[in-house]
Amino acid sequence: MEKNLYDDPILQLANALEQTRPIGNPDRQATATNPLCGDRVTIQLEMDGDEIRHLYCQVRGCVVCRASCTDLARVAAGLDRARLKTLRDTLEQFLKASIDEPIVPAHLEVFAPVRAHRSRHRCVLLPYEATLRALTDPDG
Amino acid sequence: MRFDVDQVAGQFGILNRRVGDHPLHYLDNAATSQVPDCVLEAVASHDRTRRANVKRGVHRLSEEADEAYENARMEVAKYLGVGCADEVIFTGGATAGINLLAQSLGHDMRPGDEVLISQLEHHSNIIPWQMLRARTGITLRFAPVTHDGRLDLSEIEGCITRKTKLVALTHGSNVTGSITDASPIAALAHDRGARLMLDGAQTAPHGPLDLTSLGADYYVFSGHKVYGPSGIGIVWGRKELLEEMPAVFGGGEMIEDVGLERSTYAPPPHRFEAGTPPITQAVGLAAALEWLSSQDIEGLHLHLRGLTDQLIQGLEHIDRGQGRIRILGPNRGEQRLPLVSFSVQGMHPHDICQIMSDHHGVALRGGHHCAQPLHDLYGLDGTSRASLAAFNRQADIDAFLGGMEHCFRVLG
Repeated sequence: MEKNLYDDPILQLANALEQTRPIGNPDRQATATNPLCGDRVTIQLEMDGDEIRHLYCQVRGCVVCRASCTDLARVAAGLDRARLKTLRDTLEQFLKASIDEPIVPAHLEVFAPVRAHRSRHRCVLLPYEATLRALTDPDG
Repeated sequence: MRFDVDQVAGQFGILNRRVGDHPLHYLDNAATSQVPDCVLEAVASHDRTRRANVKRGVHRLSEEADEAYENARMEVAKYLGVGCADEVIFTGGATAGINLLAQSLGHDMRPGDEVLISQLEHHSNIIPWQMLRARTGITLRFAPVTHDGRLDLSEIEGCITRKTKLVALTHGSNVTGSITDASPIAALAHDRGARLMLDGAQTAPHGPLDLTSLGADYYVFSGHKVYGPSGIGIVWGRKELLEEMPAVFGGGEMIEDVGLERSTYAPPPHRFEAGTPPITQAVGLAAALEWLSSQDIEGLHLHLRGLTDQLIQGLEHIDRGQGRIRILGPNRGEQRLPLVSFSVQGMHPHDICQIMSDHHGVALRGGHHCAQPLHDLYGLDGTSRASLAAFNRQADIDAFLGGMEHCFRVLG
């Protein structure tokens, strides 16, 4: 049985967002918005060549979105665009719970309860969208 | 017949379904209402016994379908309190209707002409006019909104000028619940040579209208919010105004004579109904309006007013004076539509709505409700909204308030 969406793991991740370190002078930055709910995520990146050194999220969003931002911030170091996209695609497939259900990194399993709520999938993916945008076509 | 909510609720079969382990408490009627069984039966019966295309055939089924479709038009005219059914155009919904008006009325608009909308509007009454501005160079002006979510009538006069061609305003806000006092606006508009269009998507569901005394020149609403099927709506317009309007969608049904080089078009309303219309849906809409008209409307209004007041009072009680819950719109006890949008500091509307649905069977709407400019005006990312209909009962309010207490326990 799918766990409750508002069980402790997701709530704890969402509440931990405030503990992430802001970046004073980011190398890259981009914003992504979910027009359906108004969630808005701005990602700031410190880069080490093509790889992310540090990621910071400014979030105006729901619990699920904030939890995903915290999770991504914790695992982003060392990712380049290609690996980030693979992670994002894996997460999306996991959320859609397709027949070829991928094996996901352990840190993504916390989002298993979101699978039953299609309208919330985009909330989980929003920080990935913003980060990919920052790596591809950052805000001016 | 005296309004009896249990008798009314018994006519909505969907209310017997459960949401997980919970009975359904449907409080999302401003988005889409539910349909009474008689509407479902009317729709099924039409398709079971009279389904055929209209206007194009002389066989029996076609004639019966045509009669049903035009009878539906007459039923809408009756509901709107207008004498001429030819003033009723069937569309795909209120949004389609506003787009039709923007395209057709915009045909004669030039740079310098003005259209007045407001900050209170649904996107469907903003974007078509922005598109018109992009096409024609007209000026778009915006009537202001008061702190309690009404059109600011004290400022409206200054917004309507000799250049104003059209004033297009909500008749009732889907966010604040405020009801527009349209008659003085109509008088102002007409005095300056402008026309008035009212978006009645939220007001039409609450009982028969009297468009003649309202003073509007055009009116739109959607069937799916008036206990009817989706995919149908109406534009009403005064006959002499519709006759001046050019067609905007071309095809079958709307013609008089067609040649390869040029064609002539039918008079209204058919001029604006290109292609096969939503026939079955029109029949369903007529059944919905007939059903609604047969209710004790005053009793219904009293009932919904009582529930709305309880809902607001309940939220105020939960807030316990902390100021975390902000309720938009007129104060408790003042006239408003039976809908309440509210924000809770530190809680995202989608989290509230998810908990309400998953743990209490309560259907709410969360977000900007297609009214981003209004939310921006209030400095809000989004709100949660409960919106009532004829079948809502005390148990729905109790479930809502219990769910809100739960949200405070979980989300802090």
